[in-house]
Amino acid sequence: MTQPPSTARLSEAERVALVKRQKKRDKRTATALSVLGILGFLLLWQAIAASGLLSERFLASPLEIVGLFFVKLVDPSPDGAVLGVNILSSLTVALTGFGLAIVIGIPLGLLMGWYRAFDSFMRPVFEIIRPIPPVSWIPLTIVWLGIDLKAKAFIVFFAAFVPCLINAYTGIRQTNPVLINVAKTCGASNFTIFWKVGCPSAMTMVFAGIRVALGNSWATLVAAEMLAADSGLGYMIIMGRQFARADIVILGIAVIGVIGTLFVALLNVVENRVLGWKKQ
Amino acid sequence: MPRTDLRHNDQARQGASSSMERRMSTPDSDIKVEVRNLTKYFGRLHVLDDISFNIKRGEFVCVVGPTGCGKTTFLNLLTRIYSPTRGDLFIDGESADPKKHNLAFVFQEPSAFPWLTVEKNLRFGLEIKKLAKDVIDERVEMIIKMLGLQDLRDRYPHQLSVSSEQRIIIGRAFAMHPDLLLMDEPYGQMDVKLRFFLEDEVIRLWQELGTTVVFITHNIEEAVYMAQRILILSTKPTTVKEEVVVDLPRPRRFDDPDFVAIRNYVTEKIKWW
Amino acid sequence: MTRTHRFLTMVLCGMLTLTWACAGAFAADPAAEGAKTTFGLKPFAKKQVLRVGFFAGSPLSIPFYIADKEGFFKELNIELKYETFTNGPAMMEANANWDIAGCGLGGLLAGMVGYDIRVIGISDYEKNLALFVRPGSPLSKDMKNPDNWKGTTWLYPLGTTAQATLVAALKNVGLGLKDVKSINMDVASALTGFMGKQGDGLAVWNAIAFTADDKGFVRIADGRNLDVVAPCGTLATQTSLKEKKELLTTAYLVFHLTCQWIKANDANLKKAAQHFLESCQDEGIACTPSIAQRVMEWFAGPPLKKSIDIMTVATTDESGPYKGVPLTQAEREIFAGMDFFISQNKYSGEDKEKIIKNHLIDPAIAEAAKQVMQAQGLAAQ
Repeated sequence: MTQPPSTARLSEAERVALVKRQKKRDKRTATALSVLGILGFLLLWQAIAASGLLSERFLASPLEIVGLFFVKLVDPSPDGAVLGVNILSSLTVALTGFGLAIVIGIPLGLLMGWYRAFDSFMRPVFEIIRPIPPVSWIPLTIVWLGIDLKAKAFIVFFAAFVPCLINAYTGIRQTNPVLINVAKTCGASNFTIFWKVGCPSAMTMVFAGIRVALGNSWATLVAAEMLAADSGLGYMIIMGRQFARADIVILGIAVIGVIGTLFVALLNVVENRVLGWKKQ
Repeated sequence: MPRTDLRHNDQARQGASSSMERRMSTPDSDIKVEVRNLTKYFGRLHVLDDISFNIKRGEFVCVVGPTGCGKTTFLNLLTRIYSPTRGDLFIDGESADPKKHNLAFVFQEPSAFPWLTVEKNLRFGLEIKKLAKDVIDERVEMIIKMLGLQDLRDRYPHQLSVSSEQRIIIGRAFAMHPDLLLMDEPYGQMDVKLRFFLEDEVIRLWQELGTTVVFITHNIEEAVYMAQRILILSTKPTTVKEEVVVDLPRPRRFDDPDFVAIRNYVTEKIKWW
Repeated sequence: MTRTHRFLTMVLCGMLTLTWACAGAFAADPAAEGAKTTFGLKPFAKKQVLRVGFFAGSPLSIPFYIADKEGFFKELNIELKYETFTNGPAMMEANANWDIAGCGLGGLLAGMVGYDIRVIGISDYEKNLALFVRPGSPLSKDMKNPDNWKGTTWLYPLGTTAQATLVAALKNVGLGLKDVKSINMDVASALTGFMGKQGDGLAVWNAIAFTADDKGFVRIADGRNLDVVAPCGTLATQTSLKEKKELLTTAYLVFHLTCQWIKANDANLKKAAQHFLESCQDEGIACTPSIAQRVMEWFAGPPLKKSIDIMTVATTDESGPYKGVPLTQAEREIFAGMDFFISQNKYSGEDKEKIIKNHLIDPAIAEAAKQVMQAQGLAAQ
């Protein structure tokens, strides 16, 4: 109760409103700063490119990249696919792997975190698999799954699976024991407690995990498309490299970055719905 | 005033089955909760020693005891979070089972579900019990009205003040219409003003709903203010040292000479030095 | 050790030209033999360090390794430091880390166009660019029938000479790249994938191609019968050309004299194969003695005089796209390859003009080597 004297006299509703106003103002400031940051970065980039400090062969300016973006929408050279095809192809790979990681990783993590026996059963296997870099699965992936979508999605899956599982596991482990006891004294079965108390408690951590997983999925995309591809953003980058086209590489990076950002925004929307109780 | 007859009956430390026979031979419909020979060891540490007492239907019992007297263990046994080494707890003559009986618990720590609104918190236990929707609606509405939570029903716990959150927890417990409501120092963290306010709130709910309540506290004044009967626990291994009936009219007054006399008596009994 | 015998070295130069081929044995104990080096080159007074961009698993830069192992560099007071790559463009990106490097046509073009790196020599002609299909498949029975080609899936590294090979084969039956499906895979993965029943065809090179032979896949065409010219080159960075010209010239001489040494007799060829095998094992590339032997047999690194001519002698075409323009053989061959990539929209005409304008196919080192060769009367083939 260390409120300053002025707010101490406010009613609860007024106090809540005041806090809300302050939060809104903070948020506006933060947004303005973010926009300034991005603009500053683009300006600096443009300036470096224009100054000729680096050869334009190595660093295309943001404006050139925007121009190339529109060119690439219809021009398949040098990689042989137009940008739309590359984006769609990468999205299919990344979302398949990422989606599977969520559908498998999160329930598995929750179950492992909740049921001791299941934990003892699964944990050794998981601990062995966990430190393996996703890219090192490539040779086996080819033999097991071929070179199609499923092989590439598998590699992305591994990159996204681990953070999903770990966070779900840690999240449910951190469930407040008092809340578990509340449910227990209500006569809830272990599964009901798992479902009604453990899972909601874990959601904050789960979303943090999904966020990491999303980043990892995108990051592994290039590696997955190195396996074998005839289109895709990673493939476009590899081909840009093959023909020493730094602008194609930068365009690929920029598109991956922008799409990644869109996904994070989308995730925020979902998170706000699920974890809305935290924000209001 | 002390009622030691029950304890004498059990000094032979019979097992649960023989005590059940005896209990059935002397049916007493007025007894809601019966604690028999409750004993708990943690490894070789003897925490509870042969605790026995009865609680009548709708009775308000406070439990007090010196610091570190195993109150928490005692409670966890009553709620079945731990199972006893020996002895048992009976509700309506049956061995207590949280799945069958209605137990409710107000914990010392804030225990509202942070991801549920006020209303959904109130519904939580009732939904676990799988009561009919209209029953749940009715009960929840009643509690919301009694506690004056109408404006806060869609708020989340962290948006509320500490006292409002605790009221929700208390409301949630009463809404269960529990066979036994256990409260573990629910106001331990609060200042005096809030405490008085919530004590009255609990008394009001108890009077209106006729719930059987066991209220654990280290605050003797609080115990005398609320209880019909006070159980005084001893130091470890804990047993019931004495029972004190508080037969004062309500609302009680702290400066009433009878109040002061009982308070002093209980304080004297708790001293172990 | 050779420093004190420099005078004697010069005296013995002439003699050495006659005996260089069997000099490997002498090199084993140079101190006892006195002051001569295997190829009669003048050792550096001060120890030199040459950073080599080494292409693992390929013969195109293997002469560096063989000369190193045989002591040809050491006796000249040159120490080699290897930076190993299995990918040409990656090697070009890392050009700050090497003075001289060798790679295939794809890397040469990326290096010149992207990083202004200069081609100073032609190190090999990759003829073992091969197309494989599975036994029993329609193409294995009749590769002349265009219908057998249409709609097939091919695994190979796009934008490389493997693609040029495939296109040449398609052209023979009146088809183009659009008639088949191409999956980009590096050669090792492509073979693994092909063995895992992926795709209908495989276009790979080198040791991987021999491995594919050994796995029983059917070689339906290769660089020899398709007449694909795939020059591999030696490159140097602008910096090393400016600062280490003498060292680069010596390295160039040793490289091409080692090419001669390799083909001088069967014993040397066998030794070279052994070195190739070792090099593959060092870099973790699958190889067998038989494959190493075949790789070295196919190796076409030009001997010294030939290599200098390729870089320095310009002739004028009577017809074709370069009619009337004097071009060296190196330029003609590299441009022929580049024109293919330009036709596939991988590079532009401006990229080629840049190479011409900036003289990125640079005869300077070959010219310097020619002078040393003439001054010292080195073996000329």
